[in-house]
Amino acid sequence: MPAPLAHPVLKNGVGAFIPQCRRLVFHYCERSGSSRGMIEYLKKDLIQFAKEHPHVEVIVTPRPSKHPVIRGLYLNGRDKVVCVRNMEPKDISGKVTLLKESAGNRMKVFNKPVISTTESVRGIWSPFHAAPHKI
Amino acid sequence: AVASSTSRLFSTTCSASQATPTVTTPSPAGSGEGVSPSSTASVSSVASSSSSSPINLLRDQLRYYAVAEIKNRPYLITKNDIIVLDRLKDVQLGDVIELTQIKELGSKDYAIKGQPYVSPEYFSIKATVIEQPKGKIVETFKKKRRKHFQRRYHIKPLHTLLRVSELEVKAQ
Repeated sequence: MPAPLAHPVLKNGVGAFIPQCRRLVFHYCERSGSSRGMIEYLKKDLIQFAKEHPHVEVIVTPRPSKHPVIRGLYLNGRDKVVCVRNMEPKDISGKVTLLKESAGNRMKVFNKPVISTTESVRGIWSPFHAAPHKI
Repeated sequence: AVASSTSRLFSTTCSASQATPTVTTPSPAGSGEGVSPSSTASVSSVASSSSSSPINLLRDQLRYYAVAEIKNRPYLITKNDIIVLDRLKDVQLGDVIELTQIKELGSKDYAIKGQPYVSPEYFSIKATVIEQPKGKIVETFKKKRRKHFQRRYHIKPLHTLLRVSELEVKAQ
């Protein structure tokens, strides 16, 4: 597994917010039909996206005879790969937004509404520090 | 709407065997703070000196929690927490959201309970949008036995994660 590209940002958002998506690599094929929407996206929408997100390094590389793919690289060293074969430019920009807004973590189920590492403010209940039970 | 809300201060320590002091404060638009003591005598000394005003009692305890209401749902938060919400459509990464609908603001021994919300002159609570991920696939399986009915629904929930970047109680 590749090492993290930077020191892990603890408590991202408290002092400063650092966007976690570091790089987006666009692979396409010049000839194949599944890359048609991808090529249209690269011509029309990609430059604007790159200007709006200067913190993301955008790389476009032909990958002949393969389906078009977007690979996002994150600060924790993980990458997310999305195949965009046969997709229209509108759908491709949706996938790009998905990669851009993610943080590189594995997909997980969020069971609790608040994720916290601070210990409880009011403390854990103890029978020795509570008013005695009265009947 | 916030100007008409009032707040109650009550002590949360279980060891306080006397009745908890209740303090009602009028709306911020009104005249200064008023203290209406309960049946016990201990509150009457907490009159108008600013160092022992109810909010400062809470503030001196240094560690706070708040029950914030976001989209009509309560979230009990402290500083540095991550709030997991359903996807907010109109925010971008890095946006700072100020949470003003606070139902309860507390520390170890004291809490201010809003009616319905705590007056915003007592606190400053901010949250930053750090991520907008997609969750893992959740499957709902329904079956009615002996009726040839079963369904599988798959959802990939969209979330917005907020990091509570600031949770401060303001001195009065």
